[in-house]
Amino acid sequence: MKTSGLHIRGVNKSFADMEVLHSISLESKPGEFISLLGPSGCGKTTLLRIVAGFERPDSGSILIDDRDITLSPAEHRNMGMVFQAYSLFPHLTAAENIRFGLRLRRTPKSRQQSIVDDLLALAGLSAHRDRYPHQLSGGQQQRVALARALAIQPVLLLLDEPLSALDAKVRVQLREEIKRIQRETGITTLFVTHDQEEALSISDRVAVMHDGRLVQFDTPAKIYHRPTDSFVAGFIGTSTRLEGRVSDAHNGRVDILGISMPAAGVQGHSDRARVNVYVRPEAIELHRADTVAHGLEGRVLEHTFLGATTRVQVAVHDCVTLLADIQSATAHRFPVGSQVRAAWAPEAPRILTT
Amino acid sequence: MRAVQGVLIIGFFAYIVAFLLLPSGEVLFGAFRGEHGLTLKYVDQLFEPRYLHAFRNSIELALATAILGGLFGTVIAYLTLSPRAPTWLRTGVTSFSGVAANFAGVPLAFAFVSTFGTMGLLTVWLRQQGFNLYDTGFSLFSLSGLVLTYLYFQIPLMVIIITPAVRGLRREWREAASNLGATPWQYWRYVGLPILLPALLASMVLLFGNAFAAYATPYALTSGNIALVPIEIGNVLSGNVMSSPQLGQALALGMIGIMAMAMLAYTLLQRHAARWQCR
Amino acid sequence: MKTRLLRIAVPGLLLGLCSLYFLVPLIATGVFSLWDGADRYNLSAYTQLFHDPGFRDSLLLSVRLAVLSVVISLILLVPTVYWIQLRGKRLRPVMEFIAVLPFVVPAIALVEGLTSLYTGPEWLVGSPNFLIVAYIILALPYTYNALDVGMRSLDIRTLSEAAQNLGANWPTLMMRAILPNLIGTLVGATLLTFAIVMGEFTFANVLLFNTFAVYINYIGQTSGTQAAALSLLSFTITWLAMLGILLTGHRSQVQLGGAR
Repeated sequence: MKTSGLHIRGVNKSFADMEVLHSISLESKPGEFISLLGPSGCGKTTLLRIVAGFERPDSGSILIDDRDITLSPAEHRNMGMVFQAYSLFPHLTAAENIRFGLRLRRTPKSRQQSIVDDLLALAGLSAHRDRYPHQLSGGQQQRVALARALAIQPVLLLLDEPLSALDAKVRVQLREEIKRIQRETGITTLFVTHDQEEALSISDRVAVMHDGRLVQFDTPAKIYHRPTDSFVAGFIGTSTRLEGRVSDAHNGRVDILGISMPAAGVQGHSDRARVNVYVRPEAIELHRADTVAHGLEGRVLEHTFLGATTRVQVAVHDCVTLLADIQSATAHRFPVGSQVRAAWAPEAPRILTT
Repeated sequence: MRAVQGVLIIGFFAYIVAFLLLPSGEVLFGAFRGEHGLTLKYVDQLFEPRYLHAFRNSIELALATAILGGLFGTVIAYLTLSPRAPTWLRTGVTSFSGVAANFAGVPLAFAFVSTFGTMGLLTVWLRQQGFNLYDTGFSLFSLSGLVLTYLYFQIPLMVIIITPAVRGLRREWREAASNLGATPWQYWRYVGLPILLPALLASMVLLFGNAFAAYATPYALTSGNIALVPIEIGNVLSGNVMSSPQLGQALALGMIGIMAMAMLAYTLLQRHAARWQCR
Repeated sequence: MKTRLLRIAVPGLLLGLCSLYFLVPLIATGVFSLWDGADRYNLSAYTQLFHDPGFRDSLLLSVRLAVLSVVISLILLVPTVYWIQLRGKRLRPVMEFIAVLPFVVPAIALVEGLTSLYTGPEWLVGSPNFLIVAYIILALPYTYNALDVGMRSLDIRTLSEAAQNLGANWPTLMMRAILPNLIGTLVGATLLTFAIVMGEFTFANVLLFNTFAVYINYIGQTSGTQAAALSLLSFTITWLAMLGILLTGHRSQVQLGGAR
């Protein structure tokens, strides 16, 4: 199957006086799986609808393989879209729904039949081909919707929070299946979601959006470990934000609450600069206060048992609460109320200017 | 005090039996009651040209206004519900439909006489512009005039009863269709209309019954001169024509038969329409 | 650009034509009611009507019939619908069948049955009060539907169990807990019945009673301008009743009226 690249160039969009998209630019490689991730109202769905052709951008353009399609109507774009829910035509069976786009294209009957059969098999729904949408479960409905979108061999697959209406178990299962089908078909895919776990687990690259802007566009690992923006640092995963001041940029030292802590990331910042220090709970090591002399000293506030690890809340100087994940087996060494010291490796914290 | 409640409930059902069920039964069986036992004489009379004519007129009138009212009502409902339509239009149309659907009978007839009658304001104005409405074969006091008048309550009624179904057309269906390559026309042909169809037909059946049973409007408009089933029943009842009361009951029987079929069709279609809504 | 223009122009034109169809008869009726021959326009049709005792009598008769129909049908229906909600769930299909019957057996057919079945007593059959009997049946579908929807949305069961736990007896329960919560529904049902009865023509015409609608028809045989004035008045009554229903928030009740 031929794959295409998507190129979004400087797209702006306002509704009434509300600016929902602010000069968004994004380019995909052919066959790439890209997620648009952000809280609700960040403009990700609007961007998807502009790509699909349901909305027109105020300025900027959309290109598929260097061909400008900004002005072409949705029905000429040949994109397959899967909606949140209830998008199947209720008066058609699963098979007829999948066939819909082929019928419009006047694909030969026998070819229609084989495509529909293949897709039903791919989606694991061969037994349900003659069921109507209201006779299918939510997860099955979304599989049919996916098959219907794939039937027309789209240049681009658009997924608008297709999993958000499903229950947790089905959601994870279908997520894996979408990834597998996408890999098998090799169709460039744009996936809108507000669920970071979903975005990080499924995508080749993730575009994090906030207030109508694209704040970071990178691989899941980079997004997680190397956020370049304070919104991303706070939004993705869990971390503790500490305010600090660079004390020795050359040697990677930062002062936090009067304590000098290691932070390789401050190299390049000027001395005395105010910075935000983000630390993931799994990067923090705890020590009993009487056993070591370095690290931030604090008092254990609470334990939350998470299975293999236990999340410990530590009040540092009674003004900041630090989160640390430690092996559950060692948790008994840090009872609630005890004094501890928190330390981390120089590479662990992420430094961003305030 | 429970006793009072009991009495009122029993009273209600007794009332229904006495003034709804028994009279209906009287009509159903009275039509077969001759001087010497049961007879089909009066039911046979329904097939005389005069009464066949009345049934044909009534059915034609009801069909025409159901179809026209159904089409216009649906289009109006669709246009006012579209997201592009301003809110004032939506509230305006809903409120006016509520009033107009209930504005029928004698006052409606005279409103139309004042407008489209031979001396009606619009007729006179058109004549001054050199266009004689009545030269086109139109007459307010014929079937064509009745159609024009009935539409005044049929269209608003359609707007009211089809609105839930039109509102039920999901934006996702339209967008999914256009995504798969359907032009707006193809969307309506393959998705919109097929989904609306059961509700559309059910509503039109209701409109049919509504027009078929109308008595006050045609009576006031034509003074009982046009042959329609309700008018003929009224003529028998008030002694305007020489005939036995059983004939009136036979006519009423035929009317109830048609209304019952309409109601049955309506119920079946409604059930069909609701099929896709259950989730 | 051209298609975008069409998308606005075609619906606009269509809705414009439709609104002409609905507004012109109202305007024409209004203008016609003010016409006094040649090109004289004044209120003479209205003043003549006010001096006609037949106008006042027929209007008052219709108002009286409407009020009595409303009161009696509510007295009969409120306890019944309440009881069906609480205990008589099995009777619900029966009620729904009863509520559909007045549609299947139209007014003109029902009056046929009523007259041949009941020829006495004279105090009932010979007086306009006989019309109330029929009007209650006529209004039954709308009243039942309004009460049913209203009580269902209230969750009568919880409400009455709560009240009974607090020791309220039946009349207190009805008066203090159920009825106040049903005011909106009751107003809607009342206004709809009122509008139906004020415009009802079939029964009154066949049974030869001089109600408001019959009077309009009678005037229409002699004076077109006065008939136009009366039509406008009748439209206003309907309009006010529907406005009342919309204001009490029971939009869905605005449905087929009875006076075709």
